Amino acid sequence: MKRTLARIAWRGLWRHPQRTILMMAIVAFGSGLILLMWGLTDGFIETMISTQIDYDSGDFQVRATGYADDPLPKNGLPSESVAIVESTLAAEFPDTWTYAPRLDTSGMLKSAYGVLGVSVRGVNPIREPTVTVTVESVGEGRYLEAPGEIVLSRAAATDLDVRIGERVVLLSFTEGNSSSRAFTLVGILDSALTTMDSVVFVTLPDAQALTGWDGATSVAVSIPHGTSRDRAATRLEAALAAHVDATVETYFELNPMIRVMLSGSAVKLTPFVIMVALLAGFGVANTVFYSVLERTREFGMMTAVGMSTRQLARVVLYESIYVSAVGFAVGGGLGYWVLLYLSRVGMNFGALLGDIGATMGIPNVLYASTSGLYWIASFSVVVFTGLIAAWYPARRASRLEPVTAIREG
Amino acid sequence: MRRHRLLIAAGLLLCIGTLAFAQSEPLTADEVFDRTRQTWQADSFHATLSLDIVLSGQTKSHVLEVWTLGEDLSLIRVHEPEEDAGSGYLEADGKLYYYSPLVGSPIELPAVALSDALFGSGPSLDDLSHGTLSDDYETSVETLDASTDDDALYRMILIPHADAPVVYGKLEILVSADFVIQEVVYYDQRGNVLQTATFRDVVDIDGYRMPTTVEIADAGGDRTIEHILGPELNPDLDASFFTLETLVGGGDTE
Repeated sequence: MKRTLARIAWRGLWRHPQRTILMMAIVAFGSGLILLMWGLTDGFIETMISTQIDYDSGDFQVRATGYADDPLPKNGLPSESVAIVESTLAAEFPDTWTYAPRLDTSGMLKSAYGVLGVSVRGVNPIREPTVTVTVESVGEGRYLEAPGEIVLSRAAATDLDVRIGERVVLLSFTEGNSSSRAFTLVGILDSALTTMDSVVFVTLPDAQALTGWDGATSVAVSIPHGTSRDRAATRLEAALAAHVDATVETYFELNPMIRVMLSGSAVKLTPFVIMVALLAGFGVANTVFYSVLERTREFGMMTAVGMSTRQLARVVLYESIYVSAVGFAVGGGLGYWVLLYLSRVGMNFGALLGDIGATMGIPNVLYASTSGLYWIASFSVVVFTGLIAAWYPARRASRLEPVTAIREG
Repeated sequence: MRRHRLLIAAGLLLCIGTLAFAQSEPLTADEVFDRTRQTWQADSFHATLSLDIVLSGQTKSHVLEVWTLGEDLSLIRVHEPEEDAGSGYLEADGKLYYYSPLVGSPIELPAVALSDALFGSGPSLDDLSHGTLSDDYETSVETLDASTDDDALYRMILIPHADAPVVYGKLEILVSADFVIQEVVYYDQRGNVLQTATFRDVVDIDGYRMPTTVEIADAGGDRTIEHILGPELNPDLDASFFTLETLVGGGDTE
């Protein structure tokens, strides 16, 4: 009997194909929009965080207590502390945890054609590539190998009109004194992160010679994907507590501005999703309701020939389910296809974000996420709103008196 | 300020007054540098500088008065343009101060202002005054055919060492028989001329021969023309002159 009712509902839908297609289009639009919104928002946030971690910060960093208040090399980790941090990481944590000491300072870079204010990052050329993917973004030349070499972003190389193999002079200031050193440009980076355009890479010994500080300003740590950053950072901080006056700071602690921005976007997204769901739901409810009103006479005839009011309500419900299912299949399918495309190609927001993107550390190209959870979430919203939308028309159909219905219709 | 300091450097270079040496044997590069260095190590210097700065076809004129003592003390007073009149710079005790009557008190400029003028920019005053050029450069000299005293006799070639904090690829300095610098050509690391400083209108002052016009021309067409008016070599100056009080009290320098 259920099968017969389902068949009646399906045939009933296609007696008015325009109306049915309109209902399906509304559901398709709503479900596609929800899928896209979740996929794009989550994807953009994931891209932003992973880009920052992969290109710049690492999963977390060990820094001297108080360094953030006055980020000068002299407030960084002394060489003995760096050695303790490294030996603790090597001895007490899995081999999959990688780490690299860094010395960050500021300076001015000069070529024959210009001068540029830069952030100078002294790195260990062997260890740094185990923490970040900077080495993979070398678009021209090669990564650092020996002292006296420097790697710049393409933006900086263009500004200074300097080419691979040419000499540049880096000036650094410490405690009121300045120190100049010559470096040979060996590599140009095409980084996905515009904030890295102003960072120049030299070897750790060169940065130490420039600043006169024989330690580091941080030890960046990378952990395997799927490991909880917060728990890992807490564990490392506990292991270091007795030996070094240092703090372990995760990506979000290093970038409080990003944290505020993301928490705000998550809160703002929820009401928008509810609004879209209601829009789709009311669209379906409205159309189903009027289709029930229009077919009052038809429903009266059906009950007159023996269909129970319960069966009649079920036909209306089936119609609603068909509309939601087909609408979701079309909207969800299209939405997922678009997400899949954007997860591979990405969207370039460079022109739109401009300086704000650079300041916030947002990469120019953002990628969508294609988690199956979005399908489930979108389907749940569609089913829920579809059922709610069908409830009132079905209830009205179930209360029809055959004679009255035939006379009214 | 960067341009002002460059001009001070140029002014000091102009102090190369010297005795003419009749050369019988070719001099080495270091010897030529020594001779030129010895001639411009006047203890003090005072002059008025008239500058015409041409940038992108627009000309701006300045008149400055400059005093220097040794290598570490200098004072610049701006007389023109009118809106900058009375302002000035003082370099003393390794610090750089700026004063403007509009501000009312001297301001110490960050160390970068002092360093930026010369970092990576070629031979520093220290190099020139202490003969330490060979630390950063491979030097060589070529003797030219000079038919008159005004012709360049020596062409000095300075190639920076690979690790020298110098952004240029090569410097070429032309020096006359009487050890007056005539031209400095700055090349980039691709062999292109970046900038040329030309020294002319040589005059005799108390036995010194000194160019009174310097023109610094960039490859892009921008240039600065400096006229040295009323130059005084070894005027009576002492360290007590180079104070913030002198910088602020413009009348004392008259």
